[in-house]
Parts: sequence; C-alpha cells; structure tokens
Amino acid sequence: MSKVKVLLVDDEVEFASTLAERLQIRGYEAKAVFCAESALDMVRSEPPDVVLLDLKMPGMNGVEVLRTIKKLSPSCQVILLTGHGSEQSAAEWAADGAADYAIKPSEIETLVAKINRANEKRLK
Amino acid sequence: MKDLRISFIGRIISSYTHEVKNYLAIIKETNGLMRDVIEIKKSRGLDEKHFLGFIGCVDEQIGRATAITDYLYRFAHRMEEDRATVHINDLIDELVALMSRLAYRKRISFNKMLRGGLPTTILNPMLFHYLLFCLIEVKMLSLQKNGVISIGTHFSDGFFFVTLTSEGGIVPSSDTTGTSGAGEIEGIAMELGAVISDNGSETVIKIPAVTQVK
Repeated sequence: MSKVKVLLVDDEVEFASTLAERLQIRGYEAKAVFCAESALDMVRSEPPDVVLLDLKMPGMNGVEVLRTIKKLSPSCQVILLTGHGSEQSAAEWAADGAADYAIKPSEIETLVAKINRANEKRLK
Repeated sequence: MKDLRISFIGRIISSYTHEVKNYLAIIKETNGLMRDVIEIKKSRGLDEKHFLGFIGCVDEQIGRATAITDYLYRFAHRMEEDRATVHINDLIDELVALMSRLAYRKRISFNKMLRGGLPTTILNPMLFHYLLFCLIEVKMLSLQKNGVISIGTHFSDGFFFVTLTSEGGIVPSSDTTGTSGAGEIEGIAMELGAVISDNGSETVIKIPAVTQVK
C-alpha cells in the first residue's frame, strides 16, 4: 500500500519541518512548505492526499488558499491548523471545502487520527 | 475613547499570545520528535549530535518567548502610572517588539533608527504607546506586502521628535483610518501635549521634554 502523501503548510519553518519529520516516522510521505505560493505549486505539480494548512500566514488569507487548493485538486483533503476554533467557524470552513480543523499545537495522535479520517474520506 | 484603548490593549495581547503560542508549538513538536527518536533508536544507540540539535532548538524558542514576555511585562507595568520618567526609545522598543507579529502577518517589517543618548522625560507612557500604535497601524494599513516602516528619534531644542516613514507600495483607496480614526489620534496627541505633522509617507510626532511634574 502506498504511503499517504501529506503536505504541511506553515510559515513557522521549525514547526512545520519538525511535524513533517514526526509524520514521516509514522509512515506518511510528509513534506513541509513555508508559504502559500509553494503550497499551490506543490498541489499543481504533485497533488498531496491531505494538506495541513495554517490559517494565519503572513500576507495571505488561509480560506482563499483552501478554496484554491480545492479548485486545483478537488480530491485533496485540507485540514486547517488554527490557534482557536469554534463550531461556527468550523461550519464555515467546511462550506469552503475543509475536511477538518485542528488546534495548533495538537497532540500528534489527534493529528494522525484526523489525517487518517480525511484520507479515508478521499478514498470513498 | 476608553473602548478604543481596550481594543488597543487587546490587539497587543493577541499579537503577544500568537507569538508565544508559536514558540510553544515548536517546543512541543521538538520534544515530541525527541521522544520519537528515543523510541526508534533505543536498540541502536542514540546520536548525541541529533539531541544537541533538539536542545538548541528548544533553547532558542525559550529565549524568544522570554524576550517577548519581557516586553509585555514592561508594557503592562507602564500602565500603573499616569506620569512617569521614561526613555522614549525604551517605549518604542517595547511597542515595536509587541507589534512585530501584527506587522509580520502583513509582511511588513520595522526598521528602528533610534538616536542614542536622548534625555529622559515625564509623560503618560500608556498614552504614548497608544498614540504610536495608532500611527503605526495607519502606516501598516496603507502599505502593501514587503513594505518597511522606519521609526527614528532625535532630540532638539527641548523637543523629542519621533519620525515614522513608510517605504513600499501603497494600498490603493482602502480604509486606512485604523482602529482609532483621525479624531482619536488628535485627542491622544493633545492629551500628551504632542503635535503631529504628516506629509503622507512621513509622520512626525513632536513632544516637549518635561523634567518636572507640573
């Protein structure tokens, strides 16, 4: 079985790189990019199965990036990383195409469960 | 006016907490990675260099969190007194550090050109912070990505001059009045006894030096 391709998008280089390494240890093909432009390039050239997308990055609107990813690769599942979430914003993000959201920082087990759930949704 | 001041403090706290949460997230993931590596390498022996790298990363994040916390601590204590003897440059250092996350989100950077050896003065530190925040915010709102806001100080003929200069692309016809609005800015300046002049890209705050409480 091929590895689940996960793309991490976060401007905090150390955070994204470390989390990608932890996901690789757990058997995912995880890559990290540090800006929205690189993320969209990756989605165009090598569409990931699941994207972990930081909502608040400098000079960009996370929801716009989410919408663009879904336009470029509708099967790609996007999990938003946010400092704080609410039922209301979760519903709005879902309407924009987000598979789920996770509070940053999350336990790795929580994140892995969300990635697996999102990937299963993609395969259905 | 009081609501706007609370909003200003709220924005500073939100900028600070965003920054610190990022440092904590990095520390959490680095510790998690250390745990992962220990579990993997238990049977194969541990690589000291790898762990020194992790420890260095945690140290760096703790250092950054401590520095920004120190600025917030000083900022908070400034509010205890309506009039205090201050160094203008210290007030600017504090506010610029605490506004860095707000600026970074817009990909705007600060360039401080604070002249050394300025005398102390007596003023309301919270009001000075608030005035400077409002003026910097207006500049941030009007600048496009990768803009730079330079903040300079000098002292001449019994007055302090704080100069804010913006460099970079200007946002076309958007709302650039900020949290406060022009009336609020004038009101704070008046309370401080300051005069503001503005020619678009450059804003100058002129504040009289006060050596004794009136």
